[in-house]
Amino acid sequence: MVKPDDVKTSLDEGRNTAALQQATLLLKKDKTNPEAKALKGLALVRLNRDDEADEIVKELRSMTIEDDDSIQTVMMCYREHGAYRDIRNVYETRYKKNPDDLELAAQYFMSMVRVGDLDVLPKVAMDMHRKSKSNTYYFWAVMIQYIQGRTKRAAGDAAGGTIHLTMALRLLERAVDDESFEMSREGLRLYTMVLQEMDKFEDILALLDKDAGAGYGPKRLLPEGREVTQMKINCYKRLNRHADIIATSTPTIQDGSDDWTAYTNVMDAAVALNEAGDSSFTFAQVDGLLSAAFGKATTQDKPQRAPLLACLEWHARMRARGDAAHTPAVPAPLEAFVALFKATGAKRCMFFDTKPYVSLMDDATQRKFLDECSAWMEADGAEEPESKRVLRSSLLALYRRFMGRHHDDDADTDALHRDLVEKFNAAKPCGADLKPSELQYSDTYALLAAHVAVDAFARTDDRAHVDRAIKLLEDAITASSSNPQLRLLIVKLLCLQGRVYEAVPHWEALQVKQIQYDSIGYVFFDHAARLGAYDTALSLLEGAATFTRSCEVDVPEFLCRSFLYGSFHKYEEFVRCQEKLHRSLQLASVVCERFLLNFVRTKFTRARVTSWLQFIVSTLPPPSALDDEKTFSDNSQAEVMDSSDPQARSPTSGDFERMKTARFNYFRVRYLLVQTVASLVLSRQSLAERAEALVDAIARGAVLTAAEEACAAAVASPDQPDLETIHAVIEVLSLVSFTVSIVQEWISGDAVLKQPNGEPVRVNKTVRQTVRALAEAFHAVVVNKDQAMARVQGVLSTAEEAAKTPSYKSSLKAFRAAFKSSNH
Amino acid sequence: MTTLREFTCDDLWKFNKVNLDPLTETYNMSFYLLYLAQWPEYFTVAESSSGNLMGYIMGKVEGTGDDWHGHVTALTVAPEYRRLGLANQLMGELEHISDKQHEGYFVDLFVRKSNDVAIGMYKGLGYDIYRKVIGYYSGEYPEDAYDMRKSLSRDTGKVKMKPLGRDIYPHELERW
Ligand SMILES: CC(C)(COP(=O)(O)OP(=O)(O)OC[C@H]1O[C@@H](n2cnc3c(N)ncnc32)[C@H](O)[C@@H]1OP(=O)(O)O)[C@@H](O)C(=O)NCCC(=O)NCCS
Repeated sequence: MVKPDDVKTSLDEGRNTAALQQATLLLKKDKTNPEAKALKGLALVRLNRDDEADEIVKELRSMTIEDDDSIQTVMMCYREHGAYRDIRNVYETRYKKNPDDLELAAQYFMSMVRVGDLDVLPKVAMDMHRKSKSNTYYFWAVMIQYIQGRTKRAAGDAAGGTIHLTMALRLLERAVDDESFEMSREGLRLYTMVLQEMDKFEDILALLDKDAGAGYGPKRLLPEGREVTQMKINCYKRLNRHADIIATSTPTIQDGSDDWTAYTNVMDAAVALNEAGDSSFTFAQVDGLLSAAFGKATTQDKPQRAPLLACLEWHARMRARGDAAHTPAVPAPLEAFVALFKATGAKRCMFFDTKPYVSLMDDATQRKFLDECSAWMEADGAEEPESKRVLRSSLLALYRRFMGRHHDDDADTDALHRDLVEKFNAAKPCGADLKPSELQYSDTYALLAAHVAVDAFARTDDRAHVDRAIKLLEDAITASSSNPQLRLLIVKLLCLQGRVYEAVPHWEALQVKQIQYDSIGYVFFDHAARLGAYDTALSLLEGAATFTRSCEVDVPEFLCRSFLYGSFHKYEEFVRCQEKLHRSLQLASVVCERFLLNFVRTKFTRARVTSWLQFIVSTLPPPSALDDEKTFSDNSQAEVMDSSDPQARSPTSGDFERMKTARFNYFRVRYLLVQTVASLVLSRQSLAERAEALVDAIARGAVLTAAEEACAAAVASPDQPDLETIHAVIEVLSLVSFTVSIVQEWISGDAVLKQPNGEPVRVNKTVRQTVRALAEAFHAVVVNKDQAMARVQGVLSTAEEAAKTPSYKSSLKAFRAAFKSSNH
Repeated sequence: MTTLREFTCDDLWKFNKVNLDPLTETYNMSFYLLYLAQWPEYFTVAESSSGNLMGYIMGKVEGTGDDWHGHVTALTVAPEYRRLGLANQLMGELEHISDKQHEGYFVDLFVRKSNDVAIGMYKGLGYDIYRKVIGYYSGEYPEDAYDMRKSLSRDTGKVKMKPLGRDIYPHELERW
């Protein structure tokens, strides 16, 4: 006979499926046993079956639970499911019964912080302070006032905000005035936060001074260091005490330090003084300071980068002002670039450090820079070890591309490619002794040659160029297995070629996980499911879903920790982090894709599908929020892939933005698809009503409504859609959204032909024509709403017709087969 | 052109070029948030003038009595910013905080026995191998670890970094 402890043991040992079976058995005996229910809920949560766990939580909510063991288990279930409102309610009831129990009060406090219910908390915290005499709780009360003040101000209620902030300040002043009150480091930091929010910067400086003189106790609470210096500089800035900033930062610069903030602080201060008509520290003085630091650095063996780069930054700032009145009298960009090349040209960082400044040199000067560096390598640099020479000349090759030489009208791409491949091969041996964890010196050449091959493909439409690029990258990877850039590029090229299965091992070698699903999952995720790699897509989706769930459950906990550890300045950071995750487009698309792929590939009962959809509908924002740009945020990081493409073609410029738009549109289609299925499965409306509503929605846009239309057609036929019919609908709709994804890219200018980075996607001509025909048919449906149903039929037969052309037929067939087969 | 500053949550979306390194682990969210909440002063990032994350250090302070010490949990620098002295600088920062702010007796860390580059670097910074922990790293690439230590000014006799003289197993590690 199963006992609750058996289930707990199974759960402890990670045997979640067994735990689920045991808990289900327990419940068979006693349907209303809350502990058994909670154990079942826990097993479901751990099996990633949130929707079913949600049902359990709903049932538990309506039960009265008395015994302590059950309460503990139920709370655990709530916690792991992230049902923090329920936890709050339990603690509220208990706290009201025992207001003197300190531990309970602290738990109640935290349960309220987790869900952001702050109104009653100052009182709760002050009660705790009074009863315990612990200052910790006093600061909790101050912090709550501070948060409420900021929140009200952010919501436009300035007066309301000031009331809370004044209250916070009073509490702090009272504490400081009370000799018996022991100030803490955390308390003092909180004090500076409150003062800052109230623009009392003089007071912050006074507070720091007092602390420096051990005015808050026998020991200094905020020791001299980076944090305190930064606080002071911030105050000086806000108080326009520019002379103090200059006085603080100048010695650092004179030391030739690498501390970049010192340089930018001085530049900012000088500009601010200039704008105020104050000549106490002129631009000429900045010139003098920077020139001296530059001069000193060039005579050193191992100079820091900052003094050399600062001259370039100063030029850039003066140019950005369009300030003809001042031409910086510091080394000219060419001189600074050459000096940097001599000092740091054998380090990979130089390219990344100087990219923003290359445009300070005109075309002729850029050529001069390349010539001077090459000449230097032949003369002074000739004695350097081979590895350094390889790094230096590959750096110059990067600059050549970045400066547009690869895209000059007279550039001979074939010769360029040959040259880079030769250099790659010649450079390989000098990295023979490197450890597997280090990058090979020759890698840059392989990456550059691959890009040049892709350029050639863009010009000629000849696939062989891309194959060459992929082969070369594979060759480079054998010696440099830990270079992520090689792998990222190969994944991208393979996916763009539709060879997604070949990309899988490279993607897996990158070991993308946790938060990286959100930031760089797109590199593979954008393609995996669309191109039919369902197994990989599903495992990626499961990983990402586990990550999402753990964030939902764990992040609120850290709002509490910022109180517990007194790291009050982290509280708002955690709130923003929580919001960023919550609004993530990537993670929302995980929810949709995971459902769709599972649904068509796995046999589920109607009950399971229903509860899953109910859960999704309750967690995702409603379709009406889709058009609000604040609803979703695309958290993908463009910069993860290095680019030496000229500025206009880099992944951080327009192309990446276009890719983001395409991604969002694809998501819209998939999201509408899930909503449509949900309306099929969950709605109590008649089919005719649903069809009408869907057709109504068609008028909203061109391609994006295609999913809805196709669905409308399907809805119109059977009276009671069974799961089989819905599967069929999904299949059609998936086909549509697949098509839409191509159309989207195709419609957004020449995006299909030229992907971000200028790399083209190869789309078979027949497919392209078919897609165009489909797009036009879809468009016609939108224009002529009355004939929607008939036109959708037309669209589908167009697709059927198109499917008869061999090249399209095969992709269509493969697509359908893949979707239908459950063990692809 | 380094800016050292406290690591923030936003950096978690930006640290990919650092973390795609095979010797650098990407932990779960709670792990990072715990360090940010409990030891924010120990989680420092080095940013370049163009806003790239060049590397970071993650650490904590723990222990009791004369075992009160700073610990390096993760130290990593993106490949393109290596050999510029950044790791040295980040270690210096952690040692300074452990010494001056928390008044610890020593700083310690674990490193893979095969990670010659890091071991060489720590030795250059004055760390010694205190003991070997057999089978410390589990997972895909199981391996032994060196537990390395460096005494701070409070440990005047440098007794805390004197090699233990025997290898240990993970279960023998102190639960600070
Ligand atoms: C170990 C690591 C952090 C070093 O970072 P770094 O910023 O390049 O190190 P520094 O420039 O501060 O180097 C300091 C000294 O360490 C030694 N060193 C560092 N890298 C070295 C290498 N590849 N080969 C030989 N010595 C090396 C040198 O003595 C160097 O001084 P020098 O450049 O003046 O000769 C970096 O290689 C890295 O991130 N590796 C992957 C992650 C990792 O292994 N972390 C350690 C886990 S415990």
